[in-house]
Amino acid sequence: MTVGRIFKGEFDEIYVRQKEGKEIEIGDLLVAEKKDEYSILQAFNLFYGSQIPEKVKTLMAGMKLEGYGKDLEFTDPEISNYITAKLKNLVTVNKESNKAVSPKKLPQFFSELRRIQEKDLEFLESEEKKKNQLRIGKIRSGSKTLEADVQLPGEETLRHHVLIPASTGKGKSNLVKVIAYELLDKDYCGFLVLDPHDEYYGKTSKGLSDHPKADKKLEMYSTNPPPGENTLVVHLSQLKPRNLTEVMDLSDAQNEALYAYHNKDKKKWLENLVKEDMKDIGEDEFKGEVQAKTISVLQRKIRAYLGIEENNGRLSCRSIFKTQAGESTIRNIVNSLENGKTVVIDTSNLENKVELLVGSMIAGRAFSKYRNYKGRGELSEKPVISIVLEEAPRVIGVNSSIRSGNTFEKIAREGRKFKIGLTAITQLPSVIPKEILANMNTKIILGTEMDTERKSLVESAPQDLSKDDKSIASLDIGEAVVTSTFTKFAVPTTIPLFENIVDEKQKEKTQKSYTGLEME
Amino acid sequence: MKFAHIADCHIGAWSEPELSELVLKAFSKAIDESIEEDVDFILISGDLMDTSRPSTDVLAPAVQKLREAKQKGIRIYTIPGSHDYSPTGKTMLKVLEAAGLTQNVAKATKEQGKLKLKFTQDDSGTKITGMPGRTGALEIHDYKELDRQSLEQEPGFKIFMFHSALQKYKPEIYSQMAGVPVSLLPKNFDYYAGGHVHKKGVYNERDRGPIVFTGSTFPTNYRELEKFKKGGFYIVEVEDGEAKPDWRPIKLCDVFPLKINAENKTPQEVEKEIRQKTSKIDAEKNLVLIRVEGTLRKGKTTQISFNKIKEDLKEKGARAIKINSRELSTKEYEEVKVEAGNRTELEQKVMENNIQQFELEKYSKQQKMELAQNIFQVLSEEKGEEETNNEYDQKIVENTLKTLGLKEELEEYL
Ligand SMILES: Nc1ncnc2c1ncn2[C@@H]1O[C@H](COP(=O)(O)OP(=O)(O)O)[C@@H](O)[C@H]1O
Ligand SMILES: [Mg+2]
Repeated sequence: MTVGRIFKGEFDEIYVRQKEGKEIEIGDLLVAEKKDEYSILQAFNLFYGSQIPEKVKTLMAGMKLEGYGKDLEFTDPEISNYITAKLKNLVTVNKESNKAVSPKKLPQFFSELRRIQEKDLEFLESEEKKKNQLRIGKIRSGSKTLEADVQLPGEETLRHHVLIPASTGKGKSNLVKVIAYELLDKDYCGFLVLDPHDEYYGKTSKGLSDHPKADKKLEMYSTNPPPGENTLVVHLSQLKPRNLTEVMDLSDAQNEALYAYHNKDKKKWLENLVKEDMKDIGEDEFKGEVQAKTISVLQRKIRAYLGIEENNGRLSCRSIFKTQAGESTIRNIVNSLENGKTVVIDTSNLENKVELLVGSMIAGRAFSKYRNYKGRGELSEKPVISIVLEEAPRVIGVNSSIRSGNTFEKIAREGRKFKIGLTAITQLPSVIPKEILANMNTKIILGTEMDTERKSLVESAPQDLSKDDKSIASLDIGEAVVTSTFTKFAVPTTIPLFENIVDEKQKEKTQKSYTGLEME
Repeated sequence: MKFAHIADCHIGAWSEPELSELVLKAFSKAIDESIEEDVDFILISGDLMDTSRPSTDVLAPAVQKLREAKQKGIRIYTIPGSHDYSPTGKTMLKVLEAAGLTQNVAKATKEQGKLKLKFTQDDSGTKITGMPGRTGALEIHDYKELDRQSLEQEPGFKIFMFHSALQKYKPEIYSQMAGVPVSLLPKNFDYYAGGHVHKKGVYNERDRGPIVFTGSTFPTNYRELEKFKKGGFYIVEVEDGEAKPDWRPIKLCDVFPLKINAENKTPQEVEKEIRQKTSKIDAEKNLVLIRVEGTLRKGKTTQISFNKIKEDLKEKGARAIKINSRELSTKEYEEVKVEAGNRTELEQKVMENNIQQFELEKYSKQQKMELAQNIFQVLSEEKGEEETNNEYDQKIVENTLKTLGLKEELEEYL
């Protein structure tokens, strides 16, 4: 059982000599026992150790290379040469109470170390017995997966934002699918997924629609929906000046013009503005309070942004904005979220800017609704809402393509007060402002190759990851490190492949009587 | 070929006799006009009646009208709507069908796990089928099991009747109404005769004929009166297989909706304003709606003599006066107000507003609501004639404990 023994070190760097014939891997979880408690330690570096003087070893290597002394060997090779692992203390568990605490003491000097076993992780269960757990995978020791769930307190975790950083192809989308699938079983979270690659619903391959409760808990909006799902159309009247000023680059005069039209007619303001006949008006003349020039420029900008054309006084729109349909779309989506459903918005056919506009309309409506609930003391009854953003830096931070101070940033900064969180996916955590990054209380780090990106993650992690740079760099697809204010330590995790967790058994068969229909 | 498309007549709606009468008049007018237009058949897309068993006062004249159409050789096809639905199937529609006045087209068989709708063929050759609608869009589950292929491939001129709001086209004022995605309507029908949404509208979708909502024949609540003022229906001409709907408004009288902002005013000021506004309208034979909103600066809301205002308007010959003061309150004291249409709804809402005061560990709000409703049900059971008081008491106690999940625990005390 024993794989090594502690022989020196200090609190955050404990040296362990590896037993001959055993192998310690980077990331391995090892256990050192005391009488009433045990410590879980993790290997973060490996190097050679030897009893033999440097010179002798070099000479020996040279002789072997040049073909001398075939039979030359060290005496007692397993004693004189060995491998040393550097470990860090992850957590200490009291045997009696099965409670975990952050380590504050060193394990016994010279203790033996053994590999971790499932029973060593039972404290996770007892500690997290509360309902509404979010399972995201299994504990991983190095590259081996253990039969112990990695769980987070779902509601709190999602409320305090989740960051999913990783290089492309390392399994970000897979992880979000796993989370969404898990949430379909629960009622504590409304999950909004803006899906630019149409990869979540599963029109053709496996997806969230294969969940047994999909019928009741999953909704999808698309410009081309499969039967049973919704058309993504939004009535022009649903756009408010704020929505446009958030995503478009407008001058002060143009901003004011938007509000002037909105004040005149709250419902038809945009239609009126876009349709306003500017033919016989000089540039410097005024329409109402607004200068004609401003109107013309606004018209051009808005038409281009929303894809609106005008033919003989009738507006036709290439994008999802219409004058004939979609008056309730945004409200329906927000209602569904408020009822703990998962809503996937397939934005694969939309331009980037339109996707962000719809996203921010929904997010904004949800935000103000929840703020009202809070004011009325009703927020505690509502499920948390989490908004999944692919490529989060598109909307958060210096490089964002929409205005700073937009709804998403507002949610990132103060959403948790109102039970709204982001699940932000990104390859570039480093471009997200530090204070926002620090606000994201759970980070599920997948393989991240770039140095600068790892650095920003290590710096903003709730736990000390200064020793984990190597292991993060070497995370394979499906391997993760979960660092969160809701876990006692940064948990090495294996994320399952989504296709493997989809319940093979047929979808729940719904009721079999057709009320109201005359059956023959 | 020509047909009429009517929906949401809600016969039996409104408790005020004057308004109830307008509902009937509107329905009669729709039928009369259909007869005049010499239509081949009439479609009624649900909610012909306001309840599954309306009172004879309104039923008799309505049935009389249907018979007139029938005698002219006009066929009448219906589907059950959310209001004339009954869980036991005992609805007035059944009676009408048994009397040979109407025909229910929402018929199906179950084949290989799929729901196969049957077509009813009209003498004109038109094939008609449809789906019933339920409150809360419960029909959505049935839609998902439809054998769509057989519906979509059926040859000939065909009509699909339905009684559901469509998510995509739901008007803003009904955005709280549960709806069905338009993608669930089977394709390739030549006309989609909709009901349930009380606002008219014609919508065009790829691979589908016009999707038409008629609106109700007469508004069924205050807000609809205020917004729409009247109802209507469609006369649809079919030429070369193309359906062309033409809306026919049903105007029975003028409706004057007045809005009074009471914010920061006294009862006297509000009353004066109402009187000023009502004095300017021609109330005779017409409907006057008075909506008062806002928080009074002082005084009580009851100090505005609404009854006197009503009487005065009646004197001027107004047909009916509706006053809406739900959004009226005063700074002096806070009233608890619950808006609801009927008693069950009211109970439900009162419960909803107060349920969180009950501290039941491990119960979600929904579970608490269910528990409360179940207890309500158990406790409201009446004593049977054969039962002795003792038996009755015991039964009630036992059922209550069972509902509370306490039976086992208390067994020994009983
Ligand atoms: N947890 C996992 N276990 C096994 N394979 C995985 C896992 N996650 C992802 N993969 C594989 O990697 C591929 C890329 O994953 P994806 O989630 O699309 O990456 P990303 O969104 O980060 O670009 C997937 O198609 C899948 O085959
Ligand atoms: Mg991806």
